Amino acid sequence: MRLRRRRATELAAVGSGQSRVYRGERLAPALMLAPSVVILLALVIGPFVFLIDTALHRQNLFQTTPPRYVGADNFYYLFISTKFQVALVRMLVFAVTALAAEFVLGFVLAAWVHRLRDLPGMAIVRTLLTTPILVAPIVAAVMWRFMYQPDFGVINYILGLVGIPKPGWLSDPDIALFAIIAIDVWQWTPFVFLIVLAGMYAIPRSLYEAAKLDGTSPWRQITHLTIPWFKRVLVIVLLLRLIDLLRAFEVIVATTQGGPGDASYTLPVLVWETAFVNFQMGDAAAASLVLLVIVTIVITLLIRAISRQGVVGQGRR
Amino acid sequence: MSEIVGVTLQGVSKTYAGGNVAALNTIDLEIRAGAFFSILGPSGCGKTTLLRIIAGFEYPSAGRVFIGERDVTALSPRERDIAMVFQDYALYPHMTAAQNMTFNLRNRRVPKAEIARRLAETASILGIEPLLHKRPALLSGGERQRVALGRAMIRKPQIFLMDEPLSNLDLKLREQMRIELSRLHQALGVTVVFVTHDQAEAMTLSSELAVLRGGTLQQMGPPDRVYARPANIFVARFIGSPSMNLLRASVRGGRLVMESEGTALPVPADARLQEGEALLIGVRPHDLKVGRKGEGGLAVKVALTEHLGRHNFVVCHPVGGTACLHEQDAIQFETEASVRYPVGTELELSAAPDALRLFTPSGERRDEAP
Repeated sequence: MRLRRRRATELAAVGSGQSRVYRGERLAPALMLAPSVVILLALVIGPFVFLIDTALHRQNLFQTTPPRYVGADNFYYLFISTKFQVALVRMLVFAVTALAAEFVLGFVLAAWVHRLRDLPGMAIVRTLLTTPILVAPIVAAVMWRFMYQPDFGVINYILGLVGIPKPGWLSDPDIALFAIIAIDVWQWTPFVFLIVLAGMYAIPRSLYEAAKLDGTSPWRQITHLTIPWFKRVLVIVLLLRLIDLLRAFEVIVATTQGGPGDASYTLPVLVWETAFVNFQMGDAAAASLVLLVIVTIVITLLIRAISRQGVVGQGRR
Repeated sequence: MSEIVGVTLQGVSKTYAGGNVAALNTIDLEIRAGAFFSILGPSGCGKTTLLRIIAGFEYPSAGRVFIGERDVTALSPRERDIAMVFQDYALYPHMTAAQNMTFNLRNRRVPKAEIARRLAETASILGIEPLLHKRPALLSGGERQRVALGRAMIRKPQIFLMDEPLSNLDLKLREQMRIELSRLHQALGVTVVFVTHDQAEAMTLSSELAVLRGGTLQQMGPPDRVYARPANIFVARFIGSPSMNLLRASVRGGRLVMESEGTALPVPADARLQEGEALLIGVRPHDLKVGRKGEGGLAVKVALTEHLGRHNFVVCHPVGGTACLHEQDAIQFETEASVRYPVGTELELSAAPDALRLFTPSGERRDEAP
């Protein structure tokens, strides 16, 4: 809109004799951009507008009544429902716990592999440690469901050998969410590990040697050298993981489908259940918009907090 | 200030790849307390490995390392009380110059007042007070160099190790830092072990130097002595610029006769030579003088003149065949800037007998050291 107005004033300012050439020059970039704009419209903006529109209507796919405009009703009922509040809490617990575990583990593993990098066979260790990323998330979830199986699963089999009581991993409401977190940690810690390790390899060896001469303890080497060195990389990994964790879905649906009870009932599960189990499209659209807004807010806050420290987007200084 | 001590290496060897690749062969070195000691050699000669063994970053495959009286062979770097200036300075990029310099003291929980006092003292010696709040990325090469030096100095270590610290600086700055380093060494009186491939650097800075080649110690001594009496033709060619001329000759009738026919030089007085003995003659470019024709000097033909302002270097080829040992068969000598020889001029060069250095055909020093 603003662009068009500016163009109009510019065109008016240009003498009429030159306007032809000028218009051609102006048109070329627009034409070249057109295909991507069309794709963007069709795949992102279109569906997004449709989503907002759906969120403002009451619509059940199993009923023949046409969608009815209800204004913000869908949002209102969503916010006052206990399900939504539970889902919100579960989602945050899931994301924060998994994120913390993945970071601590990934970092410790990377520091360990980096420290022992000169030993023979470390290349194999490195490869082995990264293989979980290669497994499709749905496959990982199903595989773990079998391992978690209380009666013939391998985990309880091992616990039985040692004589430890066998919990129902996915059927005990106190444990289920954390059992799922363990799957995510298993699969995505290698991602953190890999990027942190790459960051460690990028640090010049002489820097660590200088630190050794300076009498720096291994712990201070990590806190005063390694972490500051690739803070920026860490921030990017943090963001990527957080986005992923907030919308984690397949791993939950393939194991507990949000249960037992509401033990692992997160917001993405709520959206899925509302839309594709109950076919309440209006409510589901409202919930997914809320999810989108939450993710956006979290990410924005995080980026802003970090850029205030001069880590993102401000050069090396 | 810690007591000033020297470094002693006893039979230090280093092998890699399970003993298949030898980086250092049985090095014995005695670095006196307070010396500015240079380890000099071409790249890949093992000089950095040697320094890293002194620092404790690498352990010798055989032999012992002493700092002062203390056997440090098995000690880690931080237990050795040494400081090092790295080739790339290795400044911590996220810390300011002041934080870089005081990191060690902070690690060791030195009281804050003491840290501040030492920082001010060191910064004033190096003249870097205005830089203290800046991060390395904002400093120029020379400034980083000073901060790196400051980081080493502030700890008052027993030994300073420097790994080609000037090689990343441009020529002007390098000369300036050379003077600075000399001044600092004199002011602090500490022991410095300095690794370089630049013979001029080693010559100007050191009180003593060691020449290394292929992991083997070639010669050790004060620079002027190594320059005047190189132990073998490698040292002779490596030290001094342009390099020493090396010529094949044999003793005939009390004169050194070149392999190229008809040219000869007088024999040094104190050399006990046998008739017919084959030799290599080394003579520095500035010791060669243009003699009169027909006096029986070294016959050469001018190929090229390099003008260097105050003097020229003339590159010539021996007349009548190969006499030189080294590449391109060229003999160089020095003249005053006003003297010019057109290309193709035939000259006869002579040298004072005591300016000649004699080596055996295998390249070892022939004349006994007086």
